Amino acid sequence: MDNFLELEKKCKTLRKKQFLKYGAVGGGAFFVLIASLLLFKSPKTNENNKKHTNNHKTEKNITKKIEHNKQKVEQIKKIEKVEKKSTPKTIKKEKSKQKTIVPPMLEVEFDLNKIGNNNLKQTKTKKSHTSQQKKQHTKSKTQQKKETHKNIISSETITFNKALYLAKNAFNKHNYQESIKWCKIASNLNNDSAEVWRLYALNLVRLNQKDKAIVVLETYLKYKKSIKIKHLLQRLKK
Amino acid sequence: MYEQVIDSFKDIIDTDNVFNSLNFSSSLSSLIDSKNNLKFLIGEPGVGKTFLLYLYKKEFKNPIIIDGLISQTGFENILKENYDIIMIDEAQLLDTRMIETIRTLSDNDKYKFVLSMHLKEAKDILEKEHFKSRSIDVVELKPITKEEMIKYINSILFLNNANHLFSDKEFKIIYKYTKGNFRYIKKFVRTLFELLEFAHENKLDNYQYINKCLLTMTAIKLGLENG
Repeated sequence: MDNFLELEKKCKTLRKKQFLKYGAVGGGAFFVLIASLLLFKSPKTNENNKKHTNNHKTEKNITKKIEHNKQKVEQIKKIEKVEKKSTPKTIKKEKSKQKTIVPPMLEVEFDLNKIGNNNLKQTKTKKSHTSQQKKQHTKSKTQQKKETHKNIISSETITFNKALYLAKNAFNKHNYQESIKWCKIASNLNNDSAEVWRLYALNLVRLNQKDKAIVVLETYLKYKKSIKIKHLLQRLKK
Repeated sequence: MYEQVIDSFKDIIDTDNVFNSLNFSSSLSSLIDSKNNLKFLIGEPGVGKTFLLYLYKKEFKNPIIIDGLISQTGFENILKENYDIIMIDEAQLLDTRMIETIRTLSDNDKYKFVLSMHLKEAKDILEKEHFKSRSIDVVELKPITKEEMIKYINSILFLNNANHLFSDKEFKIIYKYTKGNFRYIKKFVRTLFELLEFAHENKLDNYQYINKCLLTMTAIKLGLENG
């Protein structure tokens, strides 16, 4: 047994080789396993990324929309500020008084009056502002108000507005009977509206029923307070 | 210490101590049952064909076992002796002319032949036309199973009062190298005990008992493992 030590050496080297071999095989298998796992996972992650990007896009759109709305709101606020600054003290006072007496719905209809009744507007402007510059200023102001109040109207009940709108249209086209009909419909829907009563009175005046118009305005003032109605009544009495 | 064990695993044919494996007994019974005058005993080298021939020899009163390297004249002399059966071990070494004479003689009931040869060569011979046309009994001896190997090794160790020297894992390793080949099993166990004996004599602490390294060293020594 001279070669015992030699055999021992060979055995050890062989075992080392086997260890390395199995280690390499095991490592390779482990690597393949991890690689396969990663490969299987990657499409999901791509999907997730896609979803994520889509979500991101929608988020962007939403933020854009929000910013756009904010800008709109700021514009409206600016316009309102301009209105406040530009309106004369008398109108301001009128408004403040109206606010105290009349319910908010009437405030809206006050502006509608301006849209429909050009004659009244002109008289008002003549009274309040004498110079041409002031007239132009008021025109621009009314235009701005139209825009703002149109937005507000959209939030109100459509049927009342429609009726009032049609009544004003008919009044402008000198179709007074038709206007009276729509005023009655509108008053059935909203009895508190001073504008409807005022328009009804104006229609009566145009139809040469001044006395009846005065009675109508007086009956309204028994229940509600309105400067416009008051002014009209005073004018009619004169 | 293990001298007796080493001796008992020497590659010697001892028909008195027969290990009864399933393959052996079935192959032997099929040889006995065969009424054909020409029989082929085939199998891988070292599987135990020679040993089986010696066992089969016991069934006859006047048998003879000859080697495939026998000369033409020597063979002719044997034919003159009127043996009950002529068994030729390593028959693949016979030349084609002698195989042809055996085939023709086997047609006569006077002569009975058993040709023991390796599996590959036997297949080549049996595919030849003059063998194809005849009815020949072919008995294939297969390697023993792992359980049979364990029985065989333990039976010999028991006779030498050296029980429980191997664990199941070690038996498994031995079977992996020997593949149930009788000759390899004997060689392997003998070499292993020689190494163990050397380790004991030289007081090598790591090799006082059979271990994996000793088994690998044995395999390297026998050329069953590349060192």
